Amino acid sequence: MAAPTAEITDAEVEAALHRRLAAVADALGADTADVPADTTVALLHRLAVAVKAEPTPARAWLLFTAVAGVFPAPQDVVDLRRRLDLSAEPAVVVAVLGATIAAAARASRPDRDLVLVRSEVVVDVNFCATHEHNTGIQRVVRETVPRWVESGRPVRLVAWTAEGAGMRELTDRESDRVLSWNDRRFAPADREDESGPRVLVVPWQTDVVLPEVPLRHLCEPLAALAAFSGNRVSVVGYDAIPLVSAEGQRSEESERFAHYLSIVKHARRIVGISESAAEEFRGFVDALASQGLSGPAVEAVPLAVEVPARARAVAAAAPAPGDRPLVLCVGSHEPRKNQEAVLAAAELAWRAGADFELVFVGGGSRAATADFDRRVARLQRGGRAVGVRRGLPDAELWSLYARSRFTVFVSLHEGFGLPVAESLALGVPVLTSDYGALAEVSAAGGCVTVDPRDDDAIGAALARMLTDDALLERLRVEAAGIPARTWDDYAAELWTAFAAEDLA
Amino acid sequence: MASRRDYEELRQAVLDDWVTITTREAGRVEAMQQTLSWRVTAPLRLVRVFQTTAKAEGFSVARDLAAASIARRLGRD
Repeated sequence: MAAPTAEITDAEVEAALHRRLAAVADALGADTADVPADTTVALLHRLAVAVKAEPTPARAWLLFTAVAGVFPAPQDVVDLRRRLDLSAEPAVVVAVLGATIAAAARASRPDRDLVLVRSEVVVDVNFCATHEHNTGIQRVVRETVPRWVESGRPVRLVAWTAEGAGMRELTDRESDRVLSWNDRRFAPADREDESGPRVLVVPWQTDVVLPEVPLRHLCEPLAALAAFSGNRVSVVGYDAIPLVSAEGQRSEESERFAHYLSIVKHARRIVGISESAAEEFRGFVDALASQGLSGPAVEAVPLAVEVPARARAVAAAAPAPGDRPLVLCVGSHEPRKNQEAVLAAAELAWRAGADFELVFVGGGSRAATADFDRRVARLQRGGRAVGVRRGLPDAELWSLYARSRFTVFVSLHEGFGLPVAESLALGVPVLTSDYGALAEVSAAGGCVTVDPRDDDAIGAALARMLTDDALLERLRVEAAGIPARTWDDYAAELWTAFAAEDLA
Repeated sequence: MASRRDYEELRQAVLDDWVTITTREAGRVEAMQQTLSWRVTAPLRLVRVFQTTAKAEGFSVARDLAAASIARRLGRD
């Protein structure tokens, strides 16, 4: 929780309240021409009367935000509307102050100003702006959003105040973290104090894009924004794994995702990173009829698969494959990635006489990797050519790809299947799963697909890909023929998808 | 009968309390909630009671009662 700001005075807080009210007066259509500049209570009365006269959810949302200096939760908006409805006109100020006091007191900075954003697309990049983490979703955001900015799209990037009071501008360091990840101007640092930019950024009658899955404590205000504010919210849909494959997931992740869906249900559009991911969200949207909701429109824009030029250079310079074929298994280590099945299938193949080296690459929690690593060590002692590489630099990974006969990725559930797509982009055939996003990414060629729940089938496919040179050559040709899909392509298509109706 | 000035004073008093609480309790929710029950919630609950009465029995009588009662609760009569 943020520390109290003892240096702020009552006068400063009331002055900030006055400025916030003035900032939204026009949007609420309140007649404030004859309100003296120094009478906050009179200004608040005018705004409250205006909203009471036309008490739409959006106007109540905006009034709440301006008064409290905090984005409301869904129930806050409902409560304010009820209080206004039940209040006689002389008491509307009391009603509004009563509805907002608890939220206002949660704000670490009650002296924040407010700016309405009406003609730009507000893009919420909170996590990428405030964290150094860079896998999956962060890579997508850091490849896509800079391209929107560079191509002159009318975007306003926002993060959230530390206590989740509302959207705010980014610091220079945060902008650097989002827009210049591959060419940083600032040294990486932990999350810094955001006390500098105190201005709340409030979208009004515009578009809000959520390219990340928000942190848990931001889901309520974002749900209210999607449901009530009148802004058009669009989201990137990565997958529904935390709910659909909750087994093996941390329960906090499943809980967070459930609350994320409270935003999604009120969004206008969701763009899945694959047709498979889109289909999962369509299933959710179908379920919304039971709540009397129609839910967002759903479509798919597949992610880019673009390996850096230096990856190709490293691969080209890699040592020639040895006599013993190398099979590579890349992916973070967690149960749904199914590395255990690969290990079991490999053992079947070794016992059947196959001679190959198997290398697993990818990080994971100690809990997820400890047993697996012990099992690998036991196999090594038994003479099996198997290893695990964790925390491998990119260059070494690309070199391993170049030396591999093929890769194995038989995950049980994926939103896209980046390890498959990247392997194919480097021209290396893949043994992968025969359904969902992995079947989708493998449809372009270069892959052998199997039931990932069948160790025997995986083992048989491994053996065949190890021995059938004609098959491998055909797969390599297919992989080389897959058209490149760049981040420029993805960023442009994603914008177009969001803009399908009325983005600027 | 409460005058227009009474209403304005009442509104200003509630706003003053709102600002004071917001300033002092910035970021300290639990302390705010304790203070809130003494400083704001009670009179606001009273307002809602009278507002409900106003709906049921007609506005003018309840309005006057509400203003006078709240002013007394706030010690400003």
